[in-house]
Amino acid sequence: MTTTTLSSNKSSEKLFDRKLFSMMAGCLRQNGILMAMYTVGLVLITVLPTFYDLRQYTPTNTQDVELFTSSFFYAATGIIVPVLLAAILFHYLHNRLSVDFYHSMPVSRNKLFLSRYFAGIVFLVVPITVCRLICIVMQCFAFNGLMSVVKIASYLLMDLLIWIILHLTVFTFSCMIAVTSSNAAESIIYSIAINGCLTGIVYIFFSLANMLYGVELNMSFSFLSPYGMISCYQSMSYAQTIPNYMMIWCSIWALLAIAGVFVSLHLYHRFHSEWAQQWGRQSAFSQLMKLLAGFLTSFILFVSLFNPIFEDQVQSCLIGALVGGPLGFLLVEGITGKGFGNLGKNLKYIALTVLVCLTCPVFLFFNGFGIVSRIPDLQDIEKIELTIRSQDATYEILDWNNPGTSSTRNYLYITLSSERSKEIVRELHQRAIEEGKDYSGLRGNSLSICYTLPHSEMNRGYSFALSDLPLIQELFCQPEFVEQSQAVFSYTPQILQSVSCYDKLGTYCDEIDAEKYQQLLTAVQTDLLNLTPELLNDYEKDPVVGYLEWVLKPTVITPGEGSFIIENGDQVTFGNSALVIRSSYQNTLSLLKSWGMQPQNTYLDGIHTVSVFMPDSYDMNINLRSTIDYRSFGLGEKNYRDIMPSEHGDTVFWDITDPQQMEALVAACTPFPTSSSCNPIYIQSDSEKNGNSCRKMYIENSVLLSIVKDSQEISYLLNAEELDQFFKIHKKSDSEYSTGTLSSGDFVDTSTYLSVAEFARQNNLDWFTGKTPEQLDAMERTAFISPDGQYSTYDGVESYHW
Amino acid sequence: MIQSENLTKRFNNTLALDSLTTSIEDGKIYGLVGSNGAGKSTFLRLLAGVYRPTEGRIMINGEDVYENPALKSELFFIPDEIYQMPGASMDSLAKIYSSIYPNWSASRYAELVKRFPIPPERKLSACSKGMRRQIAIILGLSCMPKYLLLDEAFDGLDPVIRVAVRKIIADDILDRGTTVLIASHNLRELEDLCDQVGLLHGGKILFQKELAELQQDFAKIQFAAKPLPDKAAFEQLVDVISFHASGNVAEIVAHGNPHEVEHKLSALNPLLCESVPLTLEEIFITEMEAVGYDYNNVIF
Repeated sequence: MTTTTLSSNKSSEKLFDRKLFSMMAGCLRQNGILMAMYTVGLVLITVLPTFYDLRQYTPTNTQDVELFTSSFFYAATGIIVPVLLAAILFHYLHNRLSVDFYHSMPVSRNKLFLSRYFAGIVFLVVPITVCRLICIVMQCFAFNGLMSVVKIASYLLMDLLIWIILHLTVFTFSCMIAVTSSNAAESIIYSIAINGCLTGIVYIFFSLANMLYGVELNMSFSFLSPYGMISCYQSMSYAQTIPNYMMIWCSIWALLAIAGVFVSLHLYHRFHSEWAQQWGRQSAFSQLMKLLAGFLTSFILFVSLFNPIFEDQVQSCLIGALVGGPLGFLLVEGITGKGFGNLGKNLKYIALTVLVCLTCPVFLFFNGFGIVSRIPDLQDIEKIELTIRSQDATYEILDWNNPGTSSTRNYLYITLSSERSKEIVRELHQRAIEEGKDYSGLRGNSLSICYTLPHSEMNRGYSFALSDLPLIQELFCQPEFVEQSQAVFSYTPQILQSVSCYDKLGTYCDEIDAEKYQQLLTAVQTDLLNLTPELLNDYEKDPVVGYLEWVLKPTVITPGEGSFIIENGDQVTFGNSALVIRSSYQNTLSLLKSWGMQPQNTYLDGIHTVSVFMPDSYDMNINLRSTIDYRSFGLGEKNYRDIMPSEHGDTVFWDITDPQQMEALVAACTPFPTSSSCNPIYIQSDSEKNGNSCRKMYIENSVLLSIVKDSQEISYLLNAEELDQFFKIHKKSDSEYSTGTLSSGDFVDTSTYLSVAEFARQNNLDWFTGKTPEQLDAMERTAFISPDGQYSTYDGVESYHW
Repeated sequence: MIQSENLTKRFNNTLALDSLTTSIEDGKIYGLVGSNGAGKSTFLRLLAGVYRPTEGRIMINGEDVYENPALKSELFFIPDEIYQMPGASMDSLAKIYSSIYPNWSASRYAELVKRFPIPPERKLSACSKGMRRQIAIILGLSCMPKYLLLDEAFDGLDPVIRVAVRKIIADDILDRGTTVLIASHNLRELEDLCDQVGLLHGGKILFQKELAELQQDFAKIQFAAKPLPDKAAFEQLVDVISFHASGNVAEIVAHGNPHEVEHKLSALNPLLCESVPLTLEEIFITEMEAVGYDYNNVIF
C-alpha cells in the first residue's frame, strides 16, 4: 500500500482559471435551450413590434422622431427573468442529490458561485444586447436623415446599459437569496421580496399615512429597490433623455450589486449542504420574509376588502392587520414549508407579524413623531405649492410628451407666496387634521400642499370638507391664485386663433375680432381679480350669463422651464378653454355690449321642454372650478332623448313645459352642480337657428321647488342630502339593514317599498319635526326600505354617503 | 491517512455524529457499518467536503477537507443515490470531470467504458438505477482518486457487475494504493472486500478492527451437554455475549479467541464443544445487541 502526500493549499487556488471558464461554459451549455428560448422570446416582444411600428411610423421632422425602446418589455423581463434564472442556476443547492454532486467536486464555493453567476450574466446580457443592436440598426435606417446615427445609437445604447444594470442588479440579489434558500419556492418568493421590499414597505407606509390621516409624504421611494428602479425607469423612458439622477441611482445600484456579489459569496460559504430540499426551514431571514408577506397582505386586505366594508378607515386598517398579518405569514409558510408543520413554533412570530402590521397605524395614530399633526410656522414657509384636484373639472394642457398636441387634466398647480394665502393654507391644513368632518358632497376634490421650508420640503394631502368651503373660496379669490388658475392669464393676443361668445345655454352669439383680444383679455382679467369669495359660489346672486371660448393657434410649441414656449418666446401653461361669464363681470360684459354682444340675453326661442332628473353619482359633488369643460361645446347638436340613456342612468324624470317656469328655470340654472343638492335638468330646444339641441344644466333643489311648487308637474322627492340624514341616523342605531341601490324608477314605488315617513312611523322615529310641508310630502313618496329589509335609495344617495 | 478528531455533526436538534475520533490508514478498504441513522452517510459526506463539521475536524493527511479543492481533487464520492444531471450522458459528465479533476485519465475512462455494458452517449435519464451507479463508478475511477468514498456502493448492481467492480477496486488498491471507504448494510459483501471495518452507532465508532482480527475476537461455540449447564455456568468461564439454548444444545457467542473459549468451556464436560466461524453480520448483530440495540423488535 502506498501513502500519497497531497499537496494542497486552500488559499493558493486561483479563482479565475481554466476550470472556472470551463464550468461556466458547461453551465451555459446546460441552459442553452433556455437561453435560446429567451432570446427568441425577446426578439418576438421587442424586435418584431419595433419593426412593425417603424413601418407604420412616418415622422416628417426631427421633433417628431420617437425612438422605440420597448421599455415595457425590458421592465417586465427584468422583474421576472433574473429571479427565475437565479433559481434555475442555483437549483443544485435546492436538491439533495445535486448538492452532493457539486459540493463533493474539487471546486471551491467561490468558483462554483462565480461560474454560475457569470453564466447568468451572459444569459441575461447577450439576448437583450442582440435585440437592442438589431433595433438600433432598424431605427438608424428608419430615421435616416432625421436623426444622426450617433444620436440614435448613443441614446439606445445608454438605455441598454441602464437596463443591463437593472437586470443584473435584480439577478445579483436573487442569487444572494438563491444561495441561502433550501428550495426553489423560497428562492423565487424571497427574491421577489428582497428586490422590491423597501419600495413596497415605504409605499405601504406612505399610503397608510395618506389614507388614514391625509399625510402625503412625497419622498420618492422608487429608488429604494431594484424593482422600484425598473418601474421608475420604465415610466420615464419615453422622454428620450436619461436624467442625471437616474444615472446616479443606477451607478449606486451597480455598486450595491457588486457588493451583493461579495455578500452572496459570503452567504454561500455559510450555506449548509444539508439545507438542500428542506422545506419549512426556520431561520431569522425566512421569518422576516414571512413577516413582510403578512405586512403586505394586511395592506392589500385593508385597501381591497375592509376599507370598502367598514366606515372607519383606522378600524379597517386594524382589522386588516389582525386578519392579513397571520394570513400572509401562513401563506408563505404554507408554500415554502409545504404545509404547516411548524405552526406551533410559529405562533410567536405570527403574533410579532400582527404587531408589526399594527405598528404603522398605531405609529401614525399617535402622531408618528409629529408627522400627522405638524403644520409649519408661518414665518418658516418660503412658498407653498398646491395641487388642487376637482373631480370632473377639465383643463386642457399642452402635452409635454408630444409638443404641438394637447391633453387634459383635472388638477391645477398653484404656487403661493403672499402672507394671506399662506395663512389660508395653514388654516385649511389645521382643519384637515381635525377629526370628524363631513366630506359628503365633496368627493373627488382634494388638495395637496407642498411647503417649501428653509432647508426642506413638507408634503401633505387632504380632502375638502363642506365646512372648508368659505376658506377655499377665499383662497380661490387670492390674486396670485386667480392668475395661476385662470387660463386667460396665460394667453396673449398673438397665440389666440379665435375667441367666441356663447350664451348661458351654449348658443353661439358671435366671434371677437383679433384686434380686440388684448382689450378683452384685460377686461376679463380685471373681472376675475375682482371676484369676491362671497360671490364665488353664490350663483343665485351672481349667475352665469354666458361663456367665452378661447382657441389657441395650432403652432409649433417647444417645452420650456415649467411651461411651453410658443413662437417668439411667449409662454403658455393652458391650452384651449371656456371661461364662464358671470353677471358681476361688468368690464367684460360692457366691452361685449359695446361690440354688440349680449350673452346675458339667453336665447330662449325654441325651448319646448325642460326635463328634471334625480341626481346620479356624477351630479352629487360640488366642483370647485371656475371654468367649465371646454369640450362641452358641441353637445348641443344632440337631442336629449338620444343622449339620455348614456348621459343619465335613471329613467324617472318630469317634463316641464310651462313657458314661464321654463324661463325661470333657465334663469336659475348653472352649468355645473353648485351644491350637493342639485338636480340635473335637460333643456331641449328646436329652433331654426340651432335645430334640435339639448343642454344639460343644474339647478338647486330648493330653487327648483320654489319655481314649480304651484304646479302639479313635478313631485318633490327627498334629495340626497336630506335622505342621507335619515340614512345615517338610522344606520348608526340599527345594523340589521344592509344597503342596496334601487333600479330606475323604483325609488318612487311606495306601494312595494316602505316610504321614509312610513318607516319613521312604524319605528316611532321623530323624523317629522322641523320639516317643511314639501319635505313632509316628499317623505311620504320617497322609497326607503325594500320588502326584504334593505335600505334602498337611488344611486345618487349611495354616492353622496360614501 | 484519514483522521477525525471529536467530529460532531448536528442537524438541527439531531446529533448525527458525536465527537467521533478515528483514523483510517491509507491503502485499505474500510467498511463502515452501522444501523440505519448511525451516521455512516454523514461521515462520508463530511469526508467528501459536502458537509461542514459542526465541531471537531475531519482531515486527510492533517489537512481539513472542507473547502479544500486541492485535497478534494484526490478523492471521489459516490453517494447512495446518484444525481441525474438534466440532459447529461456519461460522456458529457466525463467532459466536466476531465476539466475539474486534475488526475483524470482519458485512457482509464476509455478502458472502463469498454468493460461496462453502457453506451457512453446514453442520457442518464434513460438509465436504470444500477446503470447510473455503474456510470458513477466508471467516472469515479477515471478521476484516479487516492480516496474513493462509496455509499452503498453495490446497491442496484447485478452480480456480474458486482464482481467486476470488486475486482477493479482491488486492482486499484494494488496498483495505486487507493484507500476505499465503503458504507453499506450489505455485510456479506463487505466481508469479502474489506480489510478493516468500523461499527458506527449513535454517532460514535463502537469498534474498528482488521476483519481477520475481528473474527479472532469473537467465538461462536456449538455446545452440547447432558444435562446442559445454565447460562451462569458459562458466564463464569467466558465473557458471554449471547446465549441461546434448546434442550441439551446451546449456541454461545463470547468475546475471545475461539480456541481459547473452546478450551475453557471443555471444563463443563461437553458432549460437543466446537467453534464455528462467525460472519460479519453475526458480529454486527451481536455487538449491536450488546449496546442495547434489540433486534428482536425488528427481526421477525
